[in-house]
Amino acid sequence: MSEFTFCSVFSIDEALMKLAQEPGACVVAGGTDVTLRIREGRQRPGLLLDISRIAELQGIREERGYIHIGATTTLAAIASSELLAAKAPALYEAANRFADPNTRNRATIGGNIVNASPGADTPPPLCALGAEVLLRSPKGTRCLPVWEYLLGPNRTALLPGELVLGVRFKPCPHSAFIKIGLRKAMAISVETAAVALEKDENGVITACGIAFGALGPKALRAWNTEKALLNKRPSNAVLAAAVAAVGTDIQPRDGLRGTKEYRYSTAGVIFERAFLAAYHSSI
Amino acid sequence: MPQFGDGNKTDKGFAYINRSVPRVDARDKVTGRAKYAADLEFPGMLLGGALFSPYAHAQVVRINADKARALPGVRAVLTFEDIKKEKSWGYYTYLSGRLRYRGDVTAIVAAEDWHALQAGLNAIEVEYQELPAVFTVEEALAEGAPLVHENDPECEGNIWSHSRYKVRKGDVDEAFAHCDRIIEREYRTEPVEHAYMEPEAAVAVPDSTSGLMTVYAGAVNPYFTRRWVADVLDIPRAKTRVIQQTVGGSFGGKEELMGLTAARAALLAQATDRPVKMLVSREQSIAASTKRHPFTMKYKLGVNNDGRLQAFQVEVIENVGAFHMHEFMNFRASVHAAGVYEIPNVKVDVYGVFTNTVTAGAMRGYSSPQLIFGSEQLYEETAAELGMDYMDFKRLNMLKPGGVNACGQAMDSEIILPEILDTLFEKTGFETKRKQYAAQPAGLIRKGIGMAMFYRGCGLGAESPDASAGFVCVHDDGSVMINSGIVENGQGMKTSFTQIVAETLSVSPDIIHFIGADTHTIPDSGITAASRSTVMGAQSVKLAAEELKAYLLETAAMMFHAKPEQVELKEGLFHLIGVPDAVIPFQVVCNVHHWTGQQAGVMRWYKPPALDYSMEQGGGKAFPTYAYGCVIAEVEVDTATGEVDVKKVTCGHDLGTVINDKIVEGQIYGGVLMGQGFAVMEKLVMQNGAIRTNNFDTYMIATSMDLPDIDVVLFESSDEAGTYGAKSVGEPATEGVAAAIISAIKNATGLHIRSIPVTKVELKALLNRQNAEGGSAAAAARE
Amino acid sequence: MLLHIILNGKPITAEIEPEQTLLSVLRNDLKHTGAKQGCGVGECGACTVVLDGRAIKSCTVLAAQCEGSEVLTIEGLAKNNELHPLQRAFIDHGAIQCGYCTAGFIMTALALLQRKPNATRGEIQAAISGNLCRCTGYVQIIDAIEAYAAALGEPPAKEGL
Repeated sequence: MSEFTFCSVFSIDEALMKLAQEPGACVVAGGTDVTLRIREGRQRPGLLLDISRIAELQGIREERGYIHIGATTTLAAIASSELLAAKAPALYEAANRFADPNTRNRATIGGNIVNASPGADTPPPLCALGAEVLLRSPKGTRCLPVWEYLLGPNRTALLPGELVLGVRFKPCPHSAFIKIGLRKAMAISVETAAVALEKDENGVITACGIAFGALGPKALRAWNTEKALLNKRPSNAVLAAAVAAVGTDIQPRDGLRGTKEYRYSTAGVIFERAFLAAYHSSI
Repeated sequence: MPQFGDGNKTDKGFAYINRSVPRVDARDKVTGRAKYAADLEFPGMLLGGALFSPYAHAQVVRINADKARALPGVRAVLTFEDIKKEKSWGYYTYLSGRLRYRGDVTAIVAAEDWHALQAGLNAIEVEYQELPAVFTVEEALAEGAPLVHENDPECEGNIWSHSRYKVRKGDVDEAFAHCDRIIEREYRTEPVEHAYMEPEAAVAVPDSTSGLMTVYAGAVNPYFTRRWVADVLDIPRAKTRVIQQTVGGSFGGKEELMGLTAARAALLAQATDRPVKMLVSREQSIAASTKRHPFTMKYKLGVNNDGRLQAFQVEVIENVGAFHMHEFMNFRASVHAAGVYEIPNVKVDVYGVFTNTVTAGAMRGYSSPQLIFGSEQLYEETAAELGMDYMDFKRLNMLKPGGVNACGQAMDSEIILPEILDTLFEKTGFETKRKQYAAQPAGLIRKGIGMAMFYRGCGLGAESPDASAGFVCVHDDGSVMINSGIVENGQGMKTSFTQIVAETLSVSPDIIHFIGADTHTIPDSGITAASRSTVMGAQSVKLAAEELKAYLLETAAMMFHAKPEQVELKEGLFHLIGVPDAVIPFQVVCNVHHWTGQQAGVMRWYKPPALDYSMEQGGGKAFPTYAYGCVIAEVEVDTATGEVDVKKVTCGHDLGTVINDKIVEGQIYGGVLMGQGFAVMEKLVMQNGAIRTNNFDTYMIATSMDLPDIDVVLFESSDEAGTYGAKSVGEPATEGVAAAIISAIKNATGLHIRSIPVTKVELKALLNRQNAEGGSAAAAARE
Repeated sequence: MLLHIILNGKPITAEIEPEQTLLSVLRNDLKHTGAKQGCGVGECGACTVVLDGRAIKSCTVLAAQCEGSEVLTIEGLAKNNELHPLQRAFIDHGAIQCGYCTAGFIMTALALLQRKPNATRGEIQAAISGNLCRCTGYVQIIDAIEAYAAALGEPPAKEGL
């Protein structure tokens, strides 16, 4: 006999009610992670709460200067969004490098950030874009920057009874994402870099967000690298200083997909490539 | 001989072979109707499962299955204490209390459903005593190393004595003493997972009335599977029936774990008297199935300053894992170790070493992919040391028509290697590009082109009898049936055999139906391996078809009131020779044939002529014929990330006679990607004997996006040894690919790579070291 | 719990467990074994079916989430023993070897070409990147899909009244 139960909810309020009733419930959006946890016996039996039918959690829209992406928006929708291709290319590219087209048809951005795998593809571009996670509980809604929301491997600031509504960030056309995987599709990242920046008419960088994936216990905001670039006009020397700073921002380890040595010797490379793509992209 | 293909297609005058016809099993496969073992269901069927070892080396101190047996839905639990015979063939154990690798099994469970099965497996109480283990060849050969098999007469320490094979030609010591230079190098390869898409599955169906045990399995060799099932149940082969289901890929691998899975399912079926289906998960399959042998190849080469090879010596040490039954591979390895070169003095020693790691077994190429990588790199390094162009060096020493190969076999058949090289070089602009890339200015992205040339002995050769059974019969409606002891593994053998029978009888393949494989219908014909099916295995069905045709000609002659020699069968019609209107359709003759009581079916046995080879002396005629090939790879190396982008692979293969070009091309495309994986992608990560890359999210086989541009050139030649002159291709398709890619990386970066796979992580480490040793050294190392 | 889906055009009700995957329900409960299990973790794509018009890996989809959905499997392609032209193309181009992955590729290609009948060779290559094949090296699979796409692109023969 199964020890699981299943329930679909159709509104955020209904979902919160169910979560309050069954604090141990497992929220299911696309199911691409949950099914694996069940198969491997890592998912505690209980309620499987299906939020895929909540219309309010779906879709990509731009309003009041922010791009909002609902938690159950699929990676396929992000990977084919013209809005994101123009206004958040880093995230758009990350979605296009995520797993494979058929997995993207089910996997959601909410699932990707709730699961909080250190090598997840969307957190680095979200960090670089300065994105916030919107969390709703019966007490209300709160916003956390993605880099604060993420705590470590598979650990987040999500509280019991709380639901991820989605993410929001300001458009940033000068953004880019680079991924190294062990093959050209269906590759979990060895490492990723995301760069988002603004520049003035003289080419001086007026704002920038840089983040790395799989180079630490969670997606890392590269504060030192950002500092090396902020208010500067990129030259070979500036870029070299920024590349040098990358080494101080990352905490790579030996793992199944890459060695510490590999990661130290290539993180600067992928940062530089992402930076150049972001800086030279035309709006 | 010209190339096969458009424009200048060879015409060997065949009607039904030498062309592409659709696969005979295609319709079932595109509709989802083809049944694989996991798809089967029988009334009252139980699910079976196995408890695998959590340790690389351990002794079970205590095992108690009482709790498991008492669970609802659990119908049988068998531990190693419950069975009469622990050990199977080739050292493997059906169930065991002494666990020598993580693929070993202590107990098996049969239950009504998946939940009960899991509960049953979890409820078995086992107390293990972990034992010291050895994982590498070095650890296994160290003084005082723990023994994988104690008190075993077949072992010297951890060396598996039975696996020692050698080649001796001339006197290498004498040659080393007199040659101008000696080059010593060591190369290594790592284990490779077959990664067939279908994990092992078997359904055992007992019949307590007749005592017959029937097993349905995706077995690469149903006769071998039958041997294990009969052995563990202690029943005669004649009471053991293995019916092969559609096999979802094998590449040599669906043998040991497949046989054990079938045997374990049969044990549970016998214990419960109910059908038992046993499914192996992907993780279990990767943990417990065999891998391509990891090789350590220690070379010593004697060469004169003019580039002429004088002496070749190699010690090939294989990590065979915990168990093994492939000592014969080392015969093939010893014969092929020096490659397709003529060297007067040769000394080859090959042997396996037991460790507590995953077991090694047959995998596409059966030693050649490793050896071609090692020897081709060795020759490339040697040419560099001599300051010679590496193609000049290779052409100088390559085996030429009328030459004698490394094991002393006089090459009396056609050698079309020079023609293959010329064609491929012209197609790719090889020699110009090679020089141009070697001289390219320093830069982030570097181009390279490389090549490997090779040959492969066709069939089993002197390794073991290459015999097989073939059966052909006609029915009164004119349909034809074939049965063979050789089996379909996905490679297209049913289609090739159908074409061969069509050619022999001269009837359309559309009226021919292939049955099998069912061990109760035709004698054991050995393993479907060594790319022997079409070359040797089809000879028996060809003989059967020839004999059957003679009987049919007699019937037709009777109908024509003529003599058989006055009648011919051509494209489905019997003709009275010289009388244009005297024609009887095949079907009409078959009908009369049946109703007049003529012999309608023929089973023939084919055993190729014996070869004069001495295992003791290490030399002689090793194979009836050889297939030649060359692969040219073009790559771009991103020196900043270590990424190798394989842009183009051009392959030229000597097919002898092409039976079905689409099937051949499919084999080659697949072989290229498998070779690419071996070179730069497929890293099997092990930790304390446990495989950490145990599913397709971590074990990286190529996706469609990793596919290079592949150009296939098929050549035909005149050798008559194989069926209608056909030679092997299934294994040659992959053998030289890794070596060519590694050669291209050398051309791009100047790095001589001595261990594969070299993923971007390893390549970057090598590039970092090269940088540290001075960037200019890279340029110096390039010829 | 009860699951209602439209399977290959027919309404079906099945008694399922809440944690069962769609693949498990198709194979074990609905006896549609054309979709295969190759890895169980959403990598190999042998289990690919079309769910509400999109190709998905049914081993990583909870069946319970498919309530009311349309599911198309390989069994639904051939009509009255007449092969679907895509199936025909796979045969004609030698795109099949062991066959274990074949249904998954066909379902991926079908969903792609329903959404994008004029897909280029590059788009086809990208679309099938979630389906692994160890036998064919993909070339003839891509050839087959491209040929079918080309046939779709040709203007349909005018039908008489």
